[in-house]
Amino acid sequence: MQETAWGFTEQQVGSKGCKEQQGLQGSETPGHNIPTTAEPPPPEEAEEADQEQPRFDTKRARSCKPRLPEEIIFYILVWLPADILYNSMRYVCQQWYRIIRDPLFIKEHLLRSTAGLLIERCFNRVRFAKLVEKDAMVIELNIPYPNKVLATCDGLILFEYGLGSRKLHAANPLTKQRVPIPPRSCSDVVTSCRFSLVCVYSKMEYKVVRIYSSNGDRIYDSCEMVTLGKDHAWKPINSQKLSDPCRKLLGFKRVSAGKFVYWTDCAYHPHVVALDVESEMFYELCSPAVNTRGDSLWYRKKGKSLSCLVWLCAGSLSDFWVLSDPITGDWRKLYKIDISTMLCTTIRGQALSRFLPVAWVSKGDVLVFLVGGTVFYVAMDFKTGKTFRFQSVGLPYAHFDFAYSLAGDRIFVTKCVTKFATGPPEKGFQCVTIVAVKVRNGSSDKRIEEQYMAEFFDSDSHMSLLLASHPRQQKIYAYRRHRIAWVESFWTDALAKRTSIFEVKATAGDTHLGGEDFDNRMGLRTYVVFVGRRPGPYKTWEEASLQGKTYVVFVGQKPGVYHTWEEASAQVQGCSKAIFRGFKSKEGAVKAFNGYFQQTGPSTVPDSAHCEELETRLKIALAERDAAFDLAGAYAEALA
Amino acid sequence: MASAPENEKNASAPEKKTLTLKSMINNEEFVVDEHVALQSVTIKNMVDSDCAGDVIPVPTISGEILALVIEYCKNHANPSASEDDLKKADAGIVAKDIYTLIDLVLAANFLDIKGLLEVTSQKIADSIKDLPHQDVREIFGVENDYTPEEEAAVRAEHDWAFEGFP
Repeated sequence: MQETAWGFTEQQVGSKGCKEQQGLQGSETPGHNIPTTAEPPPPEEAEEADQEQPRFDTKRARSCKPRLPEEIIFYILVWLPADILYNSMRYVCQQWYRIIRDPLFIKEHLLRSTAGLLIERCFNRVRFAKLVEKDAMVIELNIPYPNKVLATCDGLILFEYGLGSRKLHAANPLTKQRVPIPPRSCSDVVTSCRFSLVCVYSKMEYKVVRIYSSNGDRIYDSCEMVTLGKDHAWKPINSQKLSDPCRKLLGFKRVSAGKFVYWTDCAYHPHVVALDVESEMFYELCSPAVNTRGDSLWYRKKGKSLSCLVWLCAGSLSDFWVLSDPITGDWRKLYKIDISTMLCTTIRGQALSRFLPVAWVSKGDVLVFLVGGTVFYVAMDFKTGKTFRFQSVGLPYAHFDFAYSLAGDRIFVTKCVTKFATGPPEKGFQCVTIVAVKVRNGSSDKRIEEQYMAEFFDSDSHMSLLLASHPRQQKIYAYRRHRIAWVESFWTDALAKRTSIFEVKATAGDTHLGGEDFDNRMGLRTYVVFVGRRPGPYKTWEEASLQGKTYVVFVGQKPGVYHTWEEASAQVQGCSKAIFRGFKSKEGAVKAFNGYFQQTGPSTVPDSAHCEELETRLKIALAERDAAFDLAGAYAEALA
Repeated sequence: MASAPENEKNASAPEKKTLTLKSMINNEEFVVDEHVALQSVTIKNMVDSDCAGDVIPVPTISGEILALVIEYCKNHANPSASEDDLKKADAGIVAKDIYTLIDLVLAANFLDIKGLLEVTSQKIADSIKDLPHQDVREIFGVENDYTPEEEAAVRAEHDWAFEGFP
């Protein structure tokens, strides 16, 4: 039951769809292969077609409703807005749920989405204007963190988490998933104009591009980039090849469109700088018009390309340019329209100079203007030539184009931090990831818990299973689908903190978490070493315990080296001055033990001189241990 | 639409040919110009591989639906039709109830007419947009295969992951 529910529906539905098609074609041209489908029709196709016949008759009577092939459901769903898909259509059935989460679906859906306007007000409130036919619905966007929006892309928002905290996160406000962005290499304050969020559609990767001042001289000409959910550090991009005046442009306003980030100066600069984030190449382009007579130039994102609105000072006509090829820098003139009369008839009594072009929305053919100093907006549809107005609440601070989307589902998945070639202890499952996550439980409880996770990949069913453990409950939670963002996982931190062998307790009762088949594959009792020499699942406690920390009981009922916490702690119970320490490596433990006992010999009750001696020894041993940790940490990082 | 130049080529070489499409459900026959019928990739493949006789039987599509499909093909085979006219004509074709639309989308998928598939599925999406998911299940004849626990798990996804993380 479980398997059909989660794992194998695809094959079943898929094969059913095929059968239907092949059956139909078979009856149409008996004995002929039709090259429209990839699968050759099975020999019994004619009979199947006969069986299909009555089904369609009853369908006409609507007593039995048709079961649509998955591809048609895909075509239908792809036209629905993301919020409806996410809030309603996911619950229709598991097939639909699966379609909606499919990366290909998400990509196709993005291509059809229509952008709205994100309006940031002061006090960190964000409102979202969704444009419909001739009106706009303006709603408050609920992000439960204090934040400052830095950039948007396809329904993802890059924001500063907590004012002045310099921590950056990217989140999808619809699916409520978020991912932290690695700390920056250079420690200047977050300045809103320096970040861009770009999507490389060919790989469906989202990248954050940042411009910073490399030596604190406030000349912003250095560039670095990070891929969401993939990179753990910022990667510098060489901007030295740009000519000097163009390099200075990097500190100016940026526009991201398609897989490019553009830097523009709306006043005087005759160039535009473009960065292809996929190839990481900079390009210098010419501006479509040179500003000489006090005209104003506005660069805005239009669909997947850069547009430029040239507001001619003389006369009432305006030119609209669009960058047709970012590499050669060819501009194409889209419209030459007298927008002043259109705008001024929509809102009367405003000078043209007070209308500020804010963003292209909808499918890239509606331009929204803000009436400066007010909360009124005018949207102008260039296809139909119609305009309408709408209003927001509170003076706007910044604007971004934004649309609800399902983007980013995969980037929020727990990412591999450290990979271990453990070799599958049990056939099929292979441990691929070990992650340590800190969780704060609930909002009232301020305590921070640590959570360990391991991801297992089942090569038979090509599914992965996530195990998460709660250190206090000593219980493993198995997640079939993992939606848990990894949060600044410090492998070394995890190493230093605690022993971490856990017994897998997922049973048939947890079937919806995927416990049952996990049990079947792994054997009923499994011990998982999250932190240790060779993390992974083990069948016996003995085996697992050998992988964990080693404990040295220096002073206790029976001093010695122990492999498990249970054994070690038994030796120190009821012993008032007991001293024991955990060691990462067995060698380190034995060395510390020998070092100590060469001098003192085993004892159950230490005298004061011994105690002093012991302290020094321990200090040395601990320093050695720390060094070992550092080494392990560096190793883990190198692996990651 | 995309195959328009090929249609021309096929149609111009011999004199104007007609094909007969026959609905196997209620045995209605439709005589159409070849270049109209060739908008369907399925039919085009059959004609190209010479396995089509004079009458092409269409097994799963009723006459009522087939008439709509042919109307669509006729509109789009007309080279002089402007884009706006085509849009209006398409809107007229898909202004039907949801069950007819589902039959139509199945037909479009089977006959492999990309444009029709697109407009029909878009129209279906429009009409189910504001319906609760229970009604959508009803329309599509889909059974709810979530167990209560699974549904709860899916609903639980609708929370911020690790809310209040420092």
